[in-house]
Amino acid sequence: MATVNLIIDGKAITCDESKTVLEAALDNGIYIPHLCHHSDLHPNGGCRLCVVKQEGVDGVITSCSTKVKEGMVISTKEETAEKVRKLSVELMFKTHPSECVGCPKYGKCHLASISQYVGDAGREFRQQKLPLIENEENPLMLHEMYRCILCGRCVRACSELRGVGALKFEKVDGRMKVVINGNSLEEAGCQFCGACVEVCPTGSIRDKVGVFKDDPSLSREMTLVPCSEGCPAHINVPKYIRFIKEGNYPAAAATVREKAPIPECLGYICVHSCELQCKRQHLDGPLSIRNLKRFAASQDDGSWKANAFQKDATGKKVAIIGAGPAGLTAGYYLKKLGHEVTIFEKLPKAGGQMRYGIPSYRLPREVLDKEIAEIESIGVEIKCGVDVKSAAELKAEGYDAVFVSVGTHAGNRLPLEGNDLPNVYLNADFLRSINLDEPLPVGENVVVLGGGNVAIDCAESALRLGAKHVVMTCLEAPDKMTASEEEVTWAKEDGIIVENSRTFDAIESENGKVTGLTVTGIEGLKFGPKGPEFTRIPDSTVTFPADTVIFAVGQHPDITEEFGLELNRGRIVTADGHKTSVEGVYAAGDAVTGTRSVIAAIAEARAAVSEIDIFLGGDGNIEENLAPEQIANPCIGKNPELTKTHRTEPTVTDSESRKTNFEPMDLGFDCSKAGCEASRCLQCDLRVQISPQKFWSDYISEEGGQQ
Amino acid sequence: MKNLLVVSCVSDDIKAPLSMYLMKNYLSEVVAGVEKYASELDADIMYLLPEGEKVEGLNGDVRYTSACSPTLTNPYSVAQVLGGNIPRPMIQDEYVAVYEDKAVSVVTPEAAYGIKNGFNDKFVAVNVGEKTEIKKATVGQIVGEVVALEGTKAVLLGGLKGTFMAPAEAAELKLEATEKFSSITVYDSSECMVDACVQLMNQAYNASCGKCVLCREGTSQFRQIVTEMTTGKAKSGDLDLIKEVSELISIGAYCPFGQNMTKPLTSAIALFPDEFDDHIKRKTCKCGKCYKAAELYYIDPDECQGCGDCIDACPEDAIEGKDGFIHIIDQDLCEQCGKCVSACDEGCIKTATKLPKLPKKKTKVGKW
Repeated sequence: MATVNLIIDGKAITCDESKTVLEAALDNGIYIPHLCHHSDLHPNGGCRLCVVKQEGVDGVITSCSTKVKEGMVISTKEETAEKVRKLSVELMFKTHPSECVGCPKYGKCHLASISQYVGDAGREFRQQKLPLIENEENPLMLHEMYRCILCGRCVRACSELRGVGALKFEKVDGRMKVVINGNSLEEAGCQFCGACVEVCPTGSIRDKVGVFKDDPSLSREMTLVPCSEGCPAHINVPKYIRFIKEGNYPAAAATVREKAPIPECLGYICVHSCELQCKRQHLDGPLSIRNLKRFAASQDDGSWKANAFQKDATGKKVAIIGAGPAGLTAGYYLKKLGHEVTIFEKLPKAGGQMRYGIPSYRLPREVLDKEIAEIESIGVEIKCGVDVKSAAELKAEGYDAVFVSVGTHAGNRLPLEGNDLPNVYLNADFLRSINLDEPLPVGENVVVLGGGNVAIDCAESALRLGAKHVVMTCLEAPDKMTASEEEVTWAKEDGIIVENSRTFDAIESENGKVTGLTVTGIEGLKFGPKGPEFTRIPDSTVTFPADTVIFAVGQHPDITEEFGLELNRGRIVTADGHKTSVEGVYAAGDAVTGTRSVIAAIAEARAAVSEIDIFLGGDGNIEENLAPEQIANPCIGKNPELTKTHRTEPTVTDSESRKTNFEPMDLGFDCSKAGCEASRCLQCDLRVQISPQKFWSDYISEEGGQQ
Repeated sequence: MKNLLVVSCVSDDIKAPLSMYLMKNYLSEVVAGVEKYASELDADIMYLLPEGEKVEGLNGDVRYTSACSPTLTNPYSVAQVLGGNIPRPMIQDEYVAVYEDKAVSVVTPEAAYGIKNGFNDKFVAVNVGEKTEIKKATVGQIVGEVVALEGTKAVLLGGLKGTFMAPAEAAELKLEATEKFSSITVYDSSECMVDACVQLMNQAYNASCGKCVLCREGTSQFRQIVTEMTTGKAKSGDLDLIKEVSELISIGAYCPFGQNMTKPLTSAIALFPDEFDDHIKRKTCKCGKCYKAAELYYIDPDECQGCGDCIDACPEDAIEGKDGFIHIIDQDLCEQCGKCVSACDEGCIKTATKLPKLPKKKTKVGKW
């Protein structure tokens, strides 16, 4: 590469001949104001802020569009250049609102920052304020073009970076404006990528409030890719969806596996926080991300194994108590880090709640077995049927570290009259009995107390065991139930009656046999520090006839103080990450947090593994690139189908054929459904590729750093 | 990459409509020049004509556009227009404008005529009043021979990028083969120079492509300031402001149009300083054009009932007054929109070029 030598502000600079004067200056810590220039876009030259003086050339030159040449002598702070800059800023502010404080971009606005740097000559120009018109037509972005200073970055980003061209310049009543390129958004072909927002230096084009989280502690990548942020394990969702779109399913499966060792199980039962954050929910409904994951994982060919790391044996021994999602994840990564791992499981088989809580119609056991076998195949030893009484004692048996992931296998029993009668069950016991093939008997009329997904599992299981009438009742109103919407819908299809907004008064009985559950209607439900608060509605007490009652009102760890760890309200206390009260004993998962989700347990276990590895002398790094590198093409083009393709629903067995057995009911996606759904992705991650905007203070601090 | 030579007939200055004239009257010469140039460049040929125009006998690739801009001699600007966008120039080292995978070059009919016939002939658009006549002259000929300038007030040489000159001075100039001499606009003694500048700045505002801040906002500011000189709202510092700012714009603007668009105004001010001064300070126009065109609104103090209806109707908050007191229009704020006239049931809001005697302080209705 040929280089040239030039002098900028007295500093001798050698740089590549392809650079512009502006780039050469910025690269060398010399700030030249610029506004219409963006490092990812073609130079424009319209803002006149980057003008500089070149020795031997009349007037000023535009540094963003002038290439460096041998022997150039440039002065960036020459008087005329500074005057031109000042004039330009001054003129821009004659149409731009002068009050910054009310602007949502206050403090993050490039124009304000530059005007601060350049200053104002205070000439008596005329104010030519533009009418305060907001355009909210775009469901994701807000156009307040009265703030627009016509730098054209949005127009260029939309056409140059994306190949879409949904924005254009147009003269409206004589004045230049940025408008959408068509009579409607659809005609303009907006692909909702947000590139225009990303490059806008002012508050003219912005994300609508609520589309992204306004949390300064989040990284730019996490803020802009809400699905990945919403996932506790931060799985790279856009990446695997793109692989699915390309038909590279094994690569998609490998991408999921980079953050979780049981991708297919997650594909069946994940609580999909990613979908709840999906940007497309503001358009026409979120992507069906979980079903995409499930399809991809089902197509896994194991090719990722070639990229998986396996460190040399360290000679350290780690014991894990509990083979649920957290324990399996911890075992898997600790083994990969070279430690010898033994998992102790109280129940006959590994899997934890995935086997003994979640019914098999939601998660087929062969899928679970397959993924556990994969974990065992790298040398993780799982000893089932071993009940560890004390974590502290286990530590003393020669293990260098202990990881506790005992989950929450004990159901909560509410202090109700009749709560200890026969045929009054706890959720955990009831579901476990079914999965141990010794189901607790149910009668004809079953009432389930609770409104979460476990309550639904209990109700659906009771139905499948032969109950005729199943009622679910809970404190929460229909829209406040913690159970996922689709599961409630399916339950209702199956004839399960959901009675919302009720408080439980007593379990009625006759001659020691359950006859019903008495409840009273409530309103104004709130969850205070001491539990639920509400007002009882007078004369709304009813009794649901029942011969079987199941409590599904939460679970707690099935351990006591004898376990040797400090507990708080039954849960293991951790501090400083995942350390328990005993040195070298770590804990994570439901046993620490209370009942959450499989993916949360996996994410916590991964974090704990890093801590344990560091404790054992390792570097704690468990990151790996299992999937091939992916080049996401930012030039997405104008795809008219993008907005017309609506959320694909999975194939689900109809109510009549599913409610009598424990066979899988949600059949997920096939290849064409998966491809179709994957094509709906708005590819939020493309926006992260765009270089973030830099303020003059960023360059000045770089300069300071060099010195 | 293949080359494309676009014959741009849409870059004319509003005061020098030579392109279509040459296409219609000297088509064979223009075409010959274009073909000669195209073969040198090894380029395909395309003609870009204003929408609605038709040239008999013109064959080949002919496109039409509603765009008309001084930037349409810039290849990038032409490529933008061909791609359905608005004209915007790109001035950059080693930059190649591309349209349909061809590198774009641009030639005007005038230049093509020159390529064919040499640059001795000079076509000049002579504008007098509303009329425009295109004359074929010869380079070296003096301006006074092309157009009679005796008894006129001023001459604008070069259209929107041009310079005002005294007729005697202009008459002696020899024609050159440059844009400056493509347009001669003659102003007679009845014309107001400030009003002429209002027209010119309005035209410049419309011609500005809007890419560069200095040209876009500069034309917008200048046209407002000059217009205010004709309505009595301009300030005493405005002439200095224009002078100082146009100097900076001529250095800092992006393209030749932006750099030169202030020249008619600054040269007019230099040539007729008293006329501009009178407009601003004395609020008078000797030609009687300006303040007549923009009549002043006032409330007849003999008829005003002090009802307040006009105060509510005024979008500028330019009317002062309380219930039962005679209302007064603040001339500095009044935009002459006329909304108060229709709001007043008494019909007491009137217009005049010169304001009658009006109350200066709060006066009760009936006490005037």
